[in-house]
Amino acid sequence: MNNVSVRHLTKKYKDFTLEDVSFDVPAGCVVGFIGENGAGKSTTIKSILGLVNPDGGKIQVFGKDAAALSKKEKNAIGAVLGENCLPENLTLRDVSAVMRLIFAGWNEQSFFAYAEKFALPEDKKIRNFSRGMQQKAALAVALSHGAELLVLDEPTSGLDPVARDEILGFLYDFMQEERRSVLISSHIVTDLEKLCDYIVFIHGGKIVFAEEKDALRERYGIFRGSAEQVAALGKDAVAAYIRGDFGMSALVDRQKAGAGVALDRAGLEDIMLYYARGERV
Amino acid sequence: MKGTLLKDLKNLKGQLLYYAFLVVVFFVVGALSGNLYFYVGLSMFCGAVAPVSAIAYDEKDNWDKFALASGVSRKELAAARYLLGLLIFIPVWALSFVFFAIPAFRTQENLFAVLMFGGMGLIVTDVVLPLVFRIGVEKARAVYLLVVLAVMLLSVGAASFIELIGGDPAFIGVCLLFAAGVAGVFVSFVVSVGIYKRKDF
Repeated sequence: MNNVSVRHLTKKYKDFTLEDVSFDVPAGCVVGFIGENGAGKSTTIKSILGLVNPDGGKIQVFGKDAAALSKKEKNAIGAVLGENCLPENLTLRDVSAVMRLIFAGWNEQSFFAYAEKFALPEDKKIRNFSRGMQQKAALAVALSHGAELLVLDEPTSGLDPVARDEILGFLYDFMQEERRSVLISSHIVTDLEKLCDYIVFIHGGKIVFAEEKDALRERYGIFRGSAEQVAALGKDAVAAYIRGDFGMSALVDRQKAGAGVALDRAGLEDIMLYYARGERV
Repeated sequence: MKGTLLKDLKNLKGQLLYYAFLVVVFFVVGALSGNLYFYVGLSMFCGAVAPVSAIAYDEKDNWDKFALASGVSRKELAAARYLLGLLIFIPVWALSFVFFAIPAFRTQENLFAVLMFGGMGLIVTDVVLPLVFRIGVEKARAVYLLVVLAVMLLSVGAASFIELIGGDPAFIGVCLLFAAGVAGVFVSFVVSVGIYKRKDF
């Protein structure tokens, strides 16, 4: 079962179009959503959450049309939306009082337990929190109302490596129940590499691939050589290449390149870089 | 809606105390100077000021995005702002009737003035809120000032009208104005919900 299913999503702006975006977020899985700035990650996430009105396509959440979700079903989504979304004049105590009226399943105990784990002061106004603390406070809210699906837009941006690792730990804990899912977008691809089961890569408003993380790693390798050597690999084998000062490097499909070709390991960041910046054969 | 309303009240706590102080000062000065217009003129803007401030905070805090993602509907978000405006406007305006406890204030002209400014106050809220929803607080500020200016000129004109005409025609006039303000709340709310539904956050 998919907790989120996006099919042929389209959204047109004056200077940008999200085009034919399709992917799934299966139950029990963490799906990483990657792409450069302005690729369409946030627009897709906002469409799933009902913050923008799509021009076409279909979005289902928990097997139901996203626009027709009841309040209770929407309450089962925990969202962290990049920038701070909590009222800056409020303290965490105030936030808890407000959230009690917004989420039927609000768990105050759990919220303050997360606040303690994240070392967030209860009586300090949110505007006096650092950016990292604000992100943690938003995550504490998302984890404290019985959410089955977490939709996180850049939740680790602005955090130091220790704090990022801490947050990834909480997401691991969240995923201990099989029906739950996480859709997480991040610029920090190494975080997603640790956490995700699937990777969805968006570039220029279009999905480049939506695949299992391990399959991606197995499929691709990096070839380094001359322009002639890259050309010799064949059009089918080379996904994209980048010209350097001392030759070329190419993202190559291992199977199509054949067994005798020496390839370096391709990480998610490499794959993203080649697809975003590389040239096609 | 209740969550958004509580958030607004907590967010605006400092400002609300300041408004309460102003209300007391204007009330006392109005009572001591024997000039009811001094107070009712202030009450006219109370219905719009607090929701506009609340919306300004929300734009900065991205509250609408969070609320919509969490199951608060667009209609509820719009309703919370109207409710906040009315929760402040109605008591402040209703306080005008306390002036009638003082014998010197018990005139037909003063009663008409209270009704007239009540209607005007509602009309200010009815016009300003959809505008703010449509173009945002920053852009709406200039228009808001024009609305304030227009309403003040209108008030002076209407006050002179009451004084000149008096009697039944004036009473019918202020009742119609008040009714327009009340009916306008519903029309304005429907327009605001329509704006909210089309809006991308």
